[in-house]
Amino acid sequence: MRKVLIVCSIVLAGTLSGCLNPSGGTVPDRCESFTPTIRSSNDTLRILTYNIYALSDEVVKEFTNQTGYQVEFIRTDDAGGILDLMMLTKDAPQVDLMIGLDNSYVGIALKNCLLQSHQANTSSIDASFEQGSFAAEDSLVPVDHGYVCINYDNQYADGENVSIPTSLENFTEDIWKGKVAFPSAATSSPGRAFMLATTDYFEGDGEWDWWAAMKANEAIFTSGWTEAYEIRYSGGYGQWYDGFIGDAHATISYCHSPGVEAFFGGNWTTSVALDLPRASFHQIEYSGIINGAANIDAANAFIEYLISEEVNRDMPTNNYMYGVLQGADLPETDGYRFHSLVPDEPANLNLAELDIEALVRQWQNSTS
Amino acid sequence: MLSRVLRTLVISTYALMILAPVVIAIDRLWAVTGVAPWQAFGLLGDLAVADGVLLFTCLVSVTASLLTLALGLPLAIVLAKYEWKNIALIRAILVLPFVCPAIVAAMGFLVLFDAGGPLNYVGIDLYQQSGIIGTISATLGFANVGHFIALSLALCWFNLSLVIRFIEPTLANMNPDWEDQLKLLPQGKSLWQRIRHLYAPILAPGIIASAGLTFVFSFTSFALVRWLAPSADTLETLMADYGGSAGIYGYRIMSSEIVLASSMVQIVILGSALWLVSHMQSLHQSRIAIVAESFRRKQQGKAKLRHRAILVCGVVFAVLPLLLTIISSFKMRVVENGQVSTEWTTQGWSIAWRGDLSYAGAGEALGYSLVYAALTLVIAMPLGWMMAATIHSLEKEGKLVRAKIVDFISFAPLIVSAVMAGLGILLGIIMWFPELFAWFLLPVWAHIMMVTPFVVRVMLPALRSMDERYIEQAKILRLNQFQRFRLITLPSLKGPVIVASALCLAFSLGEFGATWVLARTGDWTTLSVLVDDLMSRPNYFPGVRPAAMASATILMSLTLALFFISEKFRDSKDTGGF
Repeated sequence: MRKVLIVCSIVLAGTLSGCLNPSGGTVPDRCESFTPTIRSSNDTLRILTYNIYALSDEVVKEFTNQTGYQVEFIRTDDAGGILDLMMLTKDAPQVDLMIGLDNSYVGIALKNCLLQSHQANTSSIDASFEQGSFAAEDSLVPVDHGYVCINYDNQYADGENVSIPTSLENFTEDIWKGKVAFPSAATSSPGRAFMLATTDYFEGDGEWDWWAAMKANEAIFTSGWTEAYEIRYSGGYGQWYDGFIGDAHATISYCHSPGVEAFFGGNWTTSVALDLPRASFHQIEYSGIINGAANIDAANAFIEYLISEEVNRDMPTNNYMYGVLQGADLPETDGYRFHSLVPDEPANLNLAELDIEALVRQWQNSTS
Repeated sequence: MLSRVLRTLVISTYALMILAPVVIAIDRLWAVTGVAPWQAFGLLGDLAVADGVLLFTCLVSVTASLLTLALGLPLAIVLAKYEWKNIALIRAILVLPFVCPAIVAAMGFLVLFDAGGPLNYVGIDLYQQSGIIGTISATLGFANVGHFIALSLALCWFNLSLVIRFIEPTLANMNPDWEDQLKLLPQGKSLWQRIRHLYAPILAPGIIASAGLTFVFSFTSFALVRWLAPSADTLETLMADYGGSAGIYGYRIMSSEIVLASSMVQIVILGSALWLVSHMQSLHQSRIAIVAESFRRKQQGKAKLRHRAILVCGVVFAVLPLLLTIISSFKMRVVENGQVSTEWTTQGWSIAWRGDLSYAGAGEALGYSLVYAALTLVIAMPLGWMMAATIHSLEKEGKLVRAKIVDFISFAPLIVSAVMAGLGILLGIIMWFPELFAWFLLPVWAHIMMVTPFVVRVMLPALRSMDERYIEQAKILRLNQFQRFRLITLPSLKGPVIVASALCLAFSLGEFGATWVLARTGDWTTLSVLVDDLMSRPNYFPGVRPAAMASATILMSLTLALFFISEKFRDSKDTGGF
């Protein structure tokens, strides 16, 4: 009788906040009818992520030592790749946990019922993450964050021969002709983030004209951030890169990328982040348990490990992103913090409401 | 009856293993996009992201083919006409680029073209386009012409062996009396007339076949485009970029449209090219049969200085990128007080081996590469051999049309690209065996797809040239089928079997495109993926480049060792092209 009561209470609890899925996790009511096949697991936690440098072998070994859970990874190129694989294996998920899907992609994952609620203790996370587009989602745990904005080379835009841009419209002028590299909003996460920022900057009126004007001004469009930043951008570490062209003096990257440049360049960089109101995007990367995960306890344990002091405090030096813990900041070593910009007024968008895929299609039409 | 059943079984197995993944992928893309494959060609013109991609792919493939002929023909001619010391070694050096993994070639050419590289030193700046390249770019109005030149040169380097392999044996074995006799006739007075009436009819099929194959391999090149022309897209890189989100119902339909349209265009263009190649190869074989005397070299005597110069240039061109890769593995950048200098060190090797800058060390990656190569050999070798035997037996029975069809099917994996093959396996696996999604042996399937056609290409001419009288005599001696195979067939085909096996291992070790697609679903890094992985790391770390070059050197050493073993067993009259 007691067992029946316990089961009933669990089911009741599930129905109040959502529904129990076949793997024992909880999903929102609207996802009740979606029942993915649970893979047979050998108790190894399988994590889907991008090339996240914070998760080194040592970090993972330490997790295994602490918890006893074995871990294996499936690594994609970027956040878009994570979503692609989640969508591809939607009906029969092959991973337990995803790490690295950011707020420009996560809406699609939620809409497709790809995630379930977590039970991890997240009290160490900074209170600022309790606000924003997906703050109410109990299936998402922020793991790192950063701002995406225009970076420019101050050896070109030196304020004397070439003025420092004060608006996005400045980039449509002749002086910037063929000298701005944009990673594609369709295939690059920072590219997508900046495209979203422009919709707020122009308040939904004129952003596509601006993109078309940039195209007309011979802006360079690349498929990924790597080509835009490492091959085209003159102000970054691309000079060490084989095949470096360096014909772009402005590109899209993180507002703390100049800080990373300085950190690795002995407190020296020519790259500067441009602080234009509502022309930057606050990108938050999440972890979340896959709806249909086979190892939920291990996944919860790994989330707690990710937001622990020992792992999350090192995000700026291991993953080149801000950590999410209370009081987290960038190190001051070699000008990392000094050269990093925190935008005064990032774009304010309700990402949960936006049809981002439709915006990407519009972006493609404007830039082709 | 039994042989018919066996044939059907062989062809079915081949079709299931090699063709099914691609058919599944296309079917899935059809279902997702609602566009039938035969209607997909028009999509490519409608998709803005694909604008100019087909043109660029064709342009670079045609340029590479012409350049390969321009550089390869003089080499094949001087190699065939004159006496050379250590000719086997020279020939081996000239053809070794073909077995060199594409990612290694890409690394070698990156060093050749980079800011401190030899070309830059003589004023040819292919990347930042200063000097003469900048002038060419401005004159032609062609953006990034340097990338185009870099890619074309690398593709030419890669395929040089095809021209040499097709042309050199034909010329070397041609009776020089024919030319002397023709000189006496009115139609053979001038060199041009002799080219027209003697050389062209004999060499044209080989020239067209080698140019066609160069076009095919250039059209589907992935690693070279990815690294040498990062500003450009070919159909292959476009599919790789969008392939990850293709084939998913209700999700980013445009990606599925891009992949479907690109793959259909690729199938038609490469199918036509390979049909031409196949036809030309048959003509080439018949030409070879009538020029089987080999005393040309002795009659022509020693080479003159200009002939030696041609050969020396060819050898330098063949080995330079490989040497530069090795050298670069010991060079590390040092920046002190803003001054950049170079340090000679073995740190790159340590970093690569320990995996300090990658998820897997070179040792682990080597392990995966060897396991994949061994398993590929175990499956692809018998499968390719059986397929070749099926074609040969159909030919012997006079069923030439059927033989031609099966021959064409054996070529089919080359019609689809490595990226498409990987994608096909991925979608097929998801559909039928989702549990295998993260199985570490998954890339082996793709390797078998990409390697088996080469086994067929090596084994088929060998089977054709086998003296059937031995088999007949063995039958008279009442040897059973197994005894005939063990005592006659196997020893007769020992050379080609070793060549095919070595190629199988070498191509599997160097396979990049399909592994790159599939490795993203798992944590299995092969050496070729490791090189790419390391080179993709932020170049803040001075160790990135030497570590990548060290990994490339390990991969190169393995494949080249296999290549030299295969060359030892290769018949000097081998005209198979591979």
